[in-house]
Amino acid sequence: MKFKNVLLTSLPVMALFVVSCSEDDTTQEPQLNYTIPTTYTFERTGTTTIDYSGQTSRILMLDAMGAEIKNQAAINAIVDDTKLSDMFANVNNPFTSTELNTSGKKLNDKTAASRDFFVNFGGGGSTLEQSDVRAFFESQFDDANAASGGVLASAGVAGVYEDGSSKRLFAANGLEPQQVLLKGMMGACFMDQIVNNYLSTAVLDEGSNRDNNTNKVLESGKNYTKMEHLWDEAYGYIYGGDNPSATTPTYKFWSSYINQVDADSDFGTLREDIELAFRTGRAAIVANDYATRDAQIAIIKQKMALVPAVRAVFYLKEGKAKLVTESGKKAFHALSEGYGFIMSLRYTNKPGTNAPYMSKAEVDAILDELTAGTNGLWDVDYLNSHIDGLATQIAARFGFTVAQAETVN
Amino acid sequence: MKKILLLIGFTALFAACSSSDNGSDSSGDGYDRTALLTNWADNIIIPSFENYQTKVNTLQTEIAAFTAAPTETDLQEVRTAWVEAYKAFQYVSIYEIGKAEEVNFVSCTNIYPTNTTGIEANIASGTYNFSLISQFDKQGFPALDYMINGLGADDAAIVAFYTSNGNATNYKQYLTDLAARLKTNADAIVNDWNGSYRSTFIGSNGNSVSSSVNRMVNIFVKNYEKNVRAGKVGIPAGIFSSGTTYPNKVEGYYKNDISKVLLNEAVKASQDFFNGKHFNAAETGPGLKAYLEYLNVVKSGQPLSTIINNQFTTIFNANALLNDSFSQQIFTDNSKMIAAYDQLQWNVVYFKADMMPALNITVDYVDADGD
Repeated sequence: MKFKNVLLTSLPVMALFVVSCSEDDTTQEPQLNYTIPTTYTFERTGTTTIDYSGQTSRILMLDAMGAEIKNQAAINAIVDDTKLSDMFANVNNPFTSTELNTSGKKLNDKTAASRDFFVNFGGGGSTLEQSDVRAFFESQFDDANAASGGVLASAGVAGVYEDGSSKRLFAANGLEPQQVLLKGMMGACFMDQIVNNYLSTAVLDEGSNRDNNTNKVLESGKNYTKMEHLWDEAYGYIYGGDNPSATTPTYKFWSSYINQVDADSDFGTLREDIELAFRTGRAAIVANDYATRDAQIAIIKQKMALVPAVRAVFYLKEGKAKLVTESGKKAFHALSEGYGFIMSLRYTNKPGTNAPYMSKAEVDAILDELTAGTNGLWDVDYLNSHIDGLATQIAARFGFTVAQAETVN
Repeated sequence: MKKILLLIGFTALFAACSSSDNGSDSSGDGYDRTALLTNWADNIIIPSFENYQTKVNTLQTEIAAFTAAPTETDLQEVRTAWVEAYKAFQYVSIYEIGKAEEVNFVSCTNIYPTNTTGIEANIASGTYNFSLISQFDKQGFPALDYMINGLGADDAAIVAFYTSNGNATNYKQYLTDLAARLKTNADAIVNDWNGSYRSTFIGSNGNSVSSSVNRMVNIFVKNYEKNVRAGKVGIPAGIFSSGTTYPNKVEGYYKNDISKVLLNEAVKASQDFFNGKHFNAAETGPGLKAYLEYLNVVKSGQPLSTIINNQFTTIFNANALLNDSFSQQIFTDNSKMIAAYDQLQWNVVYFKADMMPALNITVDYVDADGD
């Protein structure tokens, strides 16, 4: 009996190998002989096989860093850049949560650290770039520190700006370090880890991962195969900070922005598409159906890339519309969000190219142009004549129009 | 049972995938693995170890002369012999297979930074067993570095440890024992290769995971990745510590001006092995370069072997921009260290992502960087 089972379960795998050998590349709709669950729930012998606690920890850490800047700003207190550095590296017990302090996880070593781009150097990546990006985020801590304490922001002077009920800290060039950090890290850490690391076949199929998954050899002391776990880790960087069952459901970072893009009918069923692809891919891994897994990877990479692109265009246009208000200061928050999302475009992964939709050089050129006015964002006349061009450039690259992105309808 | 059946299935399919399975040779791709292994053993590995053995013998002789009557002149002679042996070591660090694997050759010869507290404790007690794992970081070239370069601020102060120090006898004994330990291992490895191991190594000419070619390629790439790229450049430059640099973790820290020399020797040794180049001769024979060319492995329209050798040239150019002292380089401009690391990493990518799949050799070690 056992013998038979083995032969049967190994048959589809063998069939795949035969397919991968053949020169004939006609595509055919796969007939899935396994079920895709309606929620991201996977079990083995009655116990969950899902674990992405490390991703949840990092999401909460970034959240705490954002809150640290915001809360200090709210009371005109000094933002401690050393504390932010400690939070970035998780040293010296910087978090209120003991669980985070003792998690062994940190953000900085997973920033610009994906296998495809920063180990195998696909997409123009290098260790020098990694080092520069990490230093850039550290510089945002310094900028937040310099802007804090209560001095009012003005052209060329870092300080605070009372934006309705919020107090926002602006660097001398008008950029808001808090937003550059949060949106930039969504790209440099979370996006990079999702699409260039955990959804990379170089990682999923590394070493004996595929054989072990096929034979359901579990990780030592765990209820999952290595490949199952890697897939969950990609999932966790999107959904790991959510609490959808709370009275007021909360969604953090990418999950939240997926919802915001999804709310715009111009982008169809983005949220459902991404969730379905994650569930299908995970079920495919359980069923040893690697062709279906790989098809889902392509879907997720393509759909995830749309999120920062659409939001970047949205915030650029929102910022432009606010340039006339309060000498432009009203626009800086949106423009800073846009700045961070534009940074994120460098970490997208265009399926089949092992490269981002927009290169590092292209992204840097856009960011440079955005801040090239006199005293950066303070030059509202300069921005007024440059923003549309930048928005159009981004929208065109990702296959949508500025009009589609700028209004959520 | 399950696994065996599946393995058979996989093997059969992989074989069916390969482009040329016309030979009756042991590797399945027509390349003569016996000739490859013979060239590696006779023209590269054994001569490299014999050269290393010679240099270790000289070092031992110089240390014997120094300990007999310690002078600053003799200390300098020891230093010269130490540098020469350390350079020769870079050519054999690659071959941790057979006896070298059995004795943990690399670990007990070149763990750095060395454990100075442990060394001083050993000297104070006068009893230690170098074959224990817990003693690996208190011996080898880094320990010798401390003993001949790091004990005092200048040569007179160092020599004083071997003359006027209250424990001078033990310092001399420790220095002597360090050299003896290097010699014991060098002799054992050379004897094993010249004894039965050569034929064992060459005879394992198949393409299983435990065959000599598969294992040697893994060991070669792993040495390049872990000991050369990471150990000599990446770790001190802070690549694995989120930017926190470690100027004290450079190779040859106490001598301090030989890190670059040792790195270049190690890169050269790796390139020579890749090219199948005979040790200390211009001639080349079967090697990874020839193997890739036999299989016509091309990447982006260029032979992979050419890409890899071009990359070695780029590596040497990046290394040339570094200070002889990596500690100094890290202080003054660490970005040059990172740039050198990047160039070294490119060949890790070519080896692991391009060369090994082309040779149908699975990477048998995995980076432990998950969470």
